[in-house]
Amino acid sequence: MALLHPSTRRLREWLETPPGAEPDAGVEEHVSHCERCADELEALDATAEVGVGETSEVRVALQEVLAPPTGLEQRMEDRIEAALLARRDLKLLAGLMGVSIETTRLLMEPPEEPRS
Amino acid sequence: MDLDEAEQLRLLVREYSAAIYRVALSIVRDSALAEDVTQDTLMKAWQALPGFRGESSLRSWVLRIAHNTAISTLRKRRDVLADPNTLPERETRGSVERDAQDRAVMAEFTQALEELDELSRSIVVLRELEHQSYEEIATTLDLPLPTVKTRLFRARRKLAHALEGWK
Repeated sequence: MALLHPSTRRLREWLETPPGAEPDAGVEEHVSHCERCADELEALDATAEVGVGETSEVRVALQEVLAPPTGLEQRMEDRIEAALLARRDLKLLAGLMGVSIETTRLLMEPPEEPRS
Repeated sequence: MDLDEAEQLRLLVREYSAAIYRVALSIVRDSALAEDVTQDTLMKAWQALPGFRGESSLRSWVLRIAHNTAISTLRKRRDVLADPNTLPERETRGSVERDAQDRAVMAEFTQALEELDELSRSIVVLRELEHQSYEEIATTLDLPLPTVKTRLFRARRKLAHALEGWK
Protein backbone atom coordinates (compact mmCIF):
# COMPACT_ATOMS: atom_id res chain seq x y z
CA MET A 1 0.00 0.00 0.00
CA ALA A 2 1.30 3.48 -0.87
CA LEU A 3 2.18 5.35 2.33
CA LEU A 4 0.86 8.76 1.29
CA HIS A 5 -2.85 9.26 1.73
CA PRO A 6 -4.62 10.63 -1.38
CA SER A 7 -5.97 14.18 -1.03
CA THR A 8 -9.66 14.75 -0.42
CA ARG A 9 -9.96 15.96 -4.01
CA ARG A 10 -8.47 12.69 -5.36
CA LEU A 11 -10.67 10.63 -3.07
CA ARG A 12 -13.74 12.50 -4.28
CA GLU A 13 -12.70 12.03 -7.92
CA TRP A 14 -12.16 8.32 -7.32
CA LEU A 15 -15.54 8.00 -5.64
CA GLU A 16 -17.24 9.88 -8.46
CA THR A 17 -15.57 8.01 -11.32
CA PRO A 18 -18.38 7.78 -13.90
CA PRO A 19 -19.61 4.30 -14.86
CA GLY A 20 -17.49 2.88 -17.64
CA ALA A 21 -14.44 5.06 -16.84
CA GLU A 22 -11.28 3.61 -15.31
CA PRO A 23 -10.84 4.59 -11.64
CA ASP A 24 -7.45 5.90 -10.45
CA ALA A 25 -5.61 2.61 -9.79
CA GLY A 26 -3.29 4.15 -7.16
CA VAL A 27 -6.21 5.48 -5.13
CA GLU A 28 -8.11 2.22 -5.62
CA GLU A 29 -5.24 0.14 -4.24
CA HIS A 30 -4.67 2.50 -1.30
CA VAL A 31 -8.25 2.90 -0.13
CA SER A 32 -9.01 -0.79 -0.09
CA HIS A 33 -6.53 -1.19 2.78
CA CYS A 34 -6.55 2.19 4.54
CA GLU A 35 -9.05 2.66 7.36
CA ARG A 36 -8.46 6.42 7.54
CA CYS A 37 -9.25 6.95 3.87
CA ALA A 38 -12.22 4.56 4.04
CA ASP A 39 -13.61 6.72 6.85
CA GLU A 40 -13.03 9.87 4.80
CA LEU A 41 -14.79 8.29 1.83
CA GLU A 42 -17.68 7.42 4.08
CA ALA A 43 -18.00 11.09 5.00
CA LEU A 44 -17.75 12.10 1.33
CA ASP A 45 -20.29 9.54 0.18
CA ALA A 46 -23.22 11.50 -1.22
CA THR A 47 -25.38 8.39 -1.36
CA ALA A 48 -25.69 8.75 2.42
CA GLU A 49 -27.27 5.74 4.02
CA VAL A 50 -30.72 5.60 5.43
CA GLY A 51 -31.44 3.66 8.57
CA VAL A 52 -32.58 0.08 8.87
CA GLY A 53 -36.29 -0.14 8.12
CA GLU A 54 -36.24 3.01 6.00
CA THR A 55 -35.98 2.84 2.26
CA SER A 56 -33.60 4.19 -0.31
CA GLU A 57 -34.06 3.91 -4.06
CA VAL A 58 -31.15 1.47 -4.32
CA ARG A 59 -32.61 -0.69 -1.57
CA VAL A 60 -36.07 -0.72 -3.17
CA ALA A 61 -34.61 -1.61 -6.57
CA LEU A 62 -32.49 -4.40 -5.07
CA GLN A 63 -35.54 -5.81 -3.30
CA GLU A 64 -37.30 -5.80 -6.64
CA VAL A 65 -34.66 -7.51 -8.78
CA LEU A 66 -33.55 -10.03 -6.12
CA ALA A 67 -36.97 -10.94 -4.75
CA PRO A 68 -37.23 -14.64 -3.82
CA PRO A 69 -39.87 -16.52 -5.83
CA THR A 70 -43.19 -17.53 -4.27
CA GLY A 71 -43.09 -20.82 -2.41
CA LEU A 72 -39.30 -20.88 -2.02
CA GLU A 73 -39.32 -22.19 1.56
CA GLN A 74 -41.74 -25.03 0.84
CA ARG A 75 -39.76 -25.97 -2.27
CA MET A 76 -36.54 -26.01 -0.26
CA GLU A 77 -38.09 -28.26 2.40
CA ASP A 78 -39.34 -30.67 -0.28
CA ARG A 79 -36.05 -30.73 -2.19
CA ILE A 80 -33.95 -31.24 0.93
CA GLU A 81 -36.22 -34.02 2.12
CA ALA A 82 -35.89 -35.74 -1.28
CA ALA A 83 -32.10 -35.32 -1.23
CA LEU A 84 -31.87 -36.79 2.29
CA LEU A 85 -34.07 -39.74 1.32
CA ALA A 86 -31.90 -40.41 -1.72
CA ARG A 87 -28.80 -40.25 0.48
CA ARG A 88 -30.37 -42.65 2.99
CA ASP A 89 -31.22 -45.07 0.18
CA LEU A 90 -27.65 -44.80 -1.11
CA LYS A 91 -26.31 -45.59 2.39
CA LEU A 92 -28.60 -48.61 2.62
CA LEU A 93 -27.49 -49.84 -0.78
CA ALA A 94 -23.83 -49.32 0.12
CA GLY A 95 -24.38 -51.40 3.27
CA LEU A 96 -25.98 -54.21 1.27
CA MET A 97 -23.15 -54.21 -1.25
CA GLY A 98 -20.49 -53.91 1.42
CA VAL A 99 -18.78 -50.98 -0.30
CA SER A 100 -18.35 -47.32 0.52
CA ILE A 101 -21.00 -44.72 -0.34
CA GLU A 102 -18.56 -43.07 -2.74
CA THR A 103 -18.07 -46.34 -4.61
CA THR A 104 -21.83 -46.89 -4.73
CA ARG A 105 -22.33 -43.37 -6.02
CA LEU A 106 -19.75 -43.95 -8.74
CA LEU A 107 -21.37 -47.25 -9.71
CA MET A 108 -24.78 -45.60 -9.97
CA GLU A 109 -23.65 -42.56 -11.93
CA PRO A 110 -24.72 -42.59 -15.59
CA PRO A 111 -21.82 -43.23 -17.99
CA GLU A 112 -20.17 -40.14 -19.40
CA GLU A 113 -21.26 -39.01 -22.83
CA PRO A 114 -18.64 -40.02 -25.40
CA ARG A 115 -16.58 -37.01 -26.45
CA SER A 116 -17.00 -36.00 -30.04
CA MET B 1 -32.37 -37.77 11.39
CA ASP B 2 -33.92 -37.32 14.83
CA LEU B 3 -36.66 -34.83 15.71
CA ASP B 4 -34.24 -32.16 16.95
CA GLU B 5 -32.24 -32.35 13.74
CA ALA B 6 -35.41 -32.17 11.65
CA GLU B 7 -36.54 -29.12 13.60
CA GLN B 8 -33.12 -27.46 13.19
CA LEU B 9 -33.31 -27.99 9.47
CA ARG B 10 -36.83 -26.60 9.30
CA LEU B 11 -35.76 -23.53 11.27
CA LEU B 12 -32.80 -22.94 8.97
CA VAL B 13 -35.05 -23.20 5.94
CA ARG B 14 -37.65 -20.82 7.33
CA GLU B 15 -35.22 -18.30 8.75
CA TYR B 16 -32.60 -18.10 6.03
CA SER B 17 -33.95 -19.34 2.67
CA ALA B 18 -34.85 -15.87 1.40
CA ALA B 19 -31.57 -14.25 2.51
CA ILE B 20 -29.50 -17.09 1.04
CA TYR B 21 -31.45 -16.87 -2.21
CA ARG B 22 -30.83 -13.10 -2.52
CA VAL B 23 -27.08 -13.50 -1.96
CA ALA B 24 -26.98 -16.45 -4.38
CA LEU B 25 -28.99 -14.70 -7.08
CA SER B 26 -26.83 -11.58 -6.88
CA ILE B 27 -23.82 -13.77 -7.68
CA VAL B 28 -25.07 -16.47 -10.08
CA ARG B 29 -27.66 -14.29 -11.88
CA ASP B 30 -29.99 -17.16 -12.64
CA SER B 31 -33.04 -18.01 -10.57
CA ALA B 32 -32.90 -21.80 -11.02
CA LEU B 33 -29.20 -21.86 -10.17
CA ALA B 34 -29.83 -19.59 -7.18
CA GLU B 35 -32.36 -22.13 -5.88
CA ASP B 36 -29.76 -24.92 -6.26
CA VAL B 37 -27.27 -22.81 -4.30
CA THR B 38 -29.90 -22.14 -1.64
CA GLN B 39 -30.53 -25.86 -1.22
CA ASP B 40 -26.81 -26.71 -1.10
CA THR B 41 -26.18 -23.94 1.42
CA LEU B 42 -29.00 -25.05 3.71
CA MET B 43 -27.77 -28.64 3.68
CA LYS B 44 -24.15 -27.63 4.28
CA ALA B 45 -25.15 -25.30 7.13
CA TRP B 46 -27.36 -27.93 8.72
CA GLN B 47 -24.64 -30.59 8.54
CA ALA B 48 -21.98 -28.21 9.88
CA LEU B 49 -24.22 -26.77 12.61
CA PRO B 50 -22.79 -28.98 15.41
CA GLY B 51 -19.37 -27.45 14.66
CA PHE B 52 -20.62 -23.83 14.69
CA ARG B 53 -18.54 -22.11 17.38
CA GLY B 54 -20.48 -18.89 17.63
CA GLU B 55 -17.55 -16.67 16.65
CA SER B 56 -19.93 -14.71 14.45
CA SER B 57 -23.71 -14.55 14.38
CA LEU B 58 -25.44 -17.60 12.94
CA ARG B 59 -26.80 -15.37 10.15
CA SER B 60 -23.30 -14.21 9.17
CA TRP B 61 -22.05 -17.77 9.22
CA VAL B 62 -24.90 -19.05 7.03
CA LEU B 63 -24.52 -16.18 4.56
CA ARG B 64 -20.79 -16.82 4.35
CA ILE B 65 -21.54 -20.41 3.35
CA ALA B 66 -24.05 -19.05 0.81
CA HIS B 67 -21.50 -16.65 -0.68
CA ASN B 68 -18.80 -19.33 -0.94
CA THR B 69 -21.22 -21.89 -2.39
CA ALA B 70 -22.48 -19.40 -4.99
CA ILE B 71 -18.94 -18.41 -6.02
CA SER B 72 -17.88 -22.04 -6.33
CA THR B 73 -21.04 -22.89 -8.32
CA LEU B 74 -20.36 -20.00 -10.66
CA ARG B 75 -16.73 -21.09 -11.15
CA LYS B 76 -17.77 -24.64 -11.99
CA ARG B 77 -20.33 -23.25 -14.39
CA ARG B 78 -17.73 -21.00 -16.02
CA ASP B 79 -15.45 -24.00 -16.47
CA VAL B 80 -18.23 -25.70 -18.41
CA LEU B 81 -19.23 -22.65 -20.37
CA ALA B 82 -16.02 -21.34 -21.85
CA ASP B 83 -17.72 -18.36 -23.45
CA PRO B 84 -18.66 -15.85 -20.71
CA ASN B 85 -21.48 -14.59 -22.91
CA THR B 86 -23.22 -17.92 -22.47
CA LEU B 87 -23.50 -17.42 -18.72
CA PRO B 88 -27.09 -17.29 -17.51
CA GLU B 89 -28.61 -13.88 -17.91
CA ARG B 90 -30.74 -12.55 -15.16
CA GLU B 91 -34.25 -11.77 -16.26
CA THR B 92 -35.75 -8.50 -15.07
CA ARG B 93 -38.59 -9.30 -12.76
CA GLY B 94 -41.41 -6.88 -13.26
CA SER B 95 -44.93 -6.34 -12.13
CA VAL B 96 -47.58 -6.16 -14.83
CA GLU B 97 -48.66 -2.64 -14.00
CA ARG B 98 -45.17 -1.13 -14.22
CA ASP B 99 -44.96 1.31 -17.10
CA ALA B 100 -42.37 1.15 -19.84
CA GLN B 101 -40.15 3.83 -18.33
CA ASP B 102 -39.91 2.06 -15.00
CA ARG B 103 -39.15 -1.22 -16.76
CA ALA B 104 -36.36 0.45 -18.70
CA VAL B 105 -34.88 1.92 -15.52
CA MET B 106 -35.09 -1.46 -13.79
CA ALA B 107 -33.37 -3.13 -16.74
CA GLU B 108 -30.61 -0.52 -16.50
CA PHE B 109 -30.35 -1.13 -12.77
CA THR B 110 -30.11 -4.89 -13.33
CA GLN B 111 -27.36 -4.35 -15.86
CA ALA B 112 -25.49 -2.02 -13.49
CA LEU B 113 -25.77 -4.70 -10.79
CA GLU B 114 -24.41 -7.35 -13.16
CA GLU B 115 -21.50 -5.13 -14.15
CA LEU B 116 -20.31 -5.01 -10.55
CA ASP B 117 -17.80 -7.67 -9.55
CA GLU B 118 -19.19 -10.57 -7.51
CA LEU B 119 -17.71 -9.35 -4.24
CA SER B 120 -19.21 -5.87 -4.60
CA ARG B 121 -22.61 -7.39 -5.38
CA SER B 122 -22.47 -9.48 -2.22
CA ILE B 123 -21.38 -6.49 -0.13
CA VAL B 124 -24.25 -4.34 -1.41
CA VAL B 125 -26.80 -7.10 -0.80
CA LEU B 126 -25.52 -7.82 2.72
CA ARG B 127 -25.63 -4.12 3.57
CA GLU B 128 -28.83 -3.01 1.89
CA LEU B 129 -31.02 -6.08 2.17
CA GLU B 130 -29.59 -8.02 5.10
CA HIS B 131 -28.79 -4.84 7.08
CA GLN B 132 -25.40 -6.11 8.19
CA SER B 133 -22.93 -3.66 9.74
CA TYR B 134 -19.60 -3.04 7.99
CA GLU B 135 -17.92 -5.21 10.61
CA GLU B 136 -20.39 -8.05 10.09
CA ILE B 137 -19.87 -7.92 6.34
CA ALA B 138 -16.10 -7.99 6.87
CA THR B 139 -16.56 -11.11 9.02
CA THR B 140 -19.05 -12.75 6.65
CA LEU B 141 -16.85 -12.29 3.59
CA ASP B 142 -13.49 -12.42 5.39
CA LEU B 143 -12.40 -9.01 4.08
CA PRO B 144 -10.58 -6.02 5.57
CA LEU B 145 -12.98 -3.33 6.79
CA PRO B 146 -11.71 -0.63 4.36
CA THR B 147 -12.33 -2.98 1.42
CA VAL B 148 -15.93 -3.46 2.53
CA LYS B 149 -16.53 0.28 2.87
CA THR B 150 -14.84 1.41 -0.32
CA ARG B 151 -16.44 -1.30 -2.48
CA LEU B 152 -19.83 -0.52 -0.97
CA PHE B 153 -19.60 3.23 -1.59
CA ARG B 154 -18.52 2.78 -5.19
CA ALA B 155 -21.05 0.05 -5.91
CA ARG B 156 -23.92 1.95 -4.37
CA ARG B 157 -22.99 5.04 -6.35
CA LYS B 158 -23.00 3.09 -9.63
CA LEU B 159 -26.38 1.58 -8.79
CA ALA B 160 -27.80 4.96 -7.79
CA HIS B 161 -26.54 6.37 -11.10
CA ALA B 162 -28.53 3.70 -12.97
CA LEU B 163 -31.65 4.78 -11.11
CA GLU B 164 -31.42 8.46 -11.97
CA GLY B 165 -34.40 8.25 -14.30
CA TRP B 166 -36.56 6.61 -11.64
CA LYS B 167 -39.25 8.71 -10.00
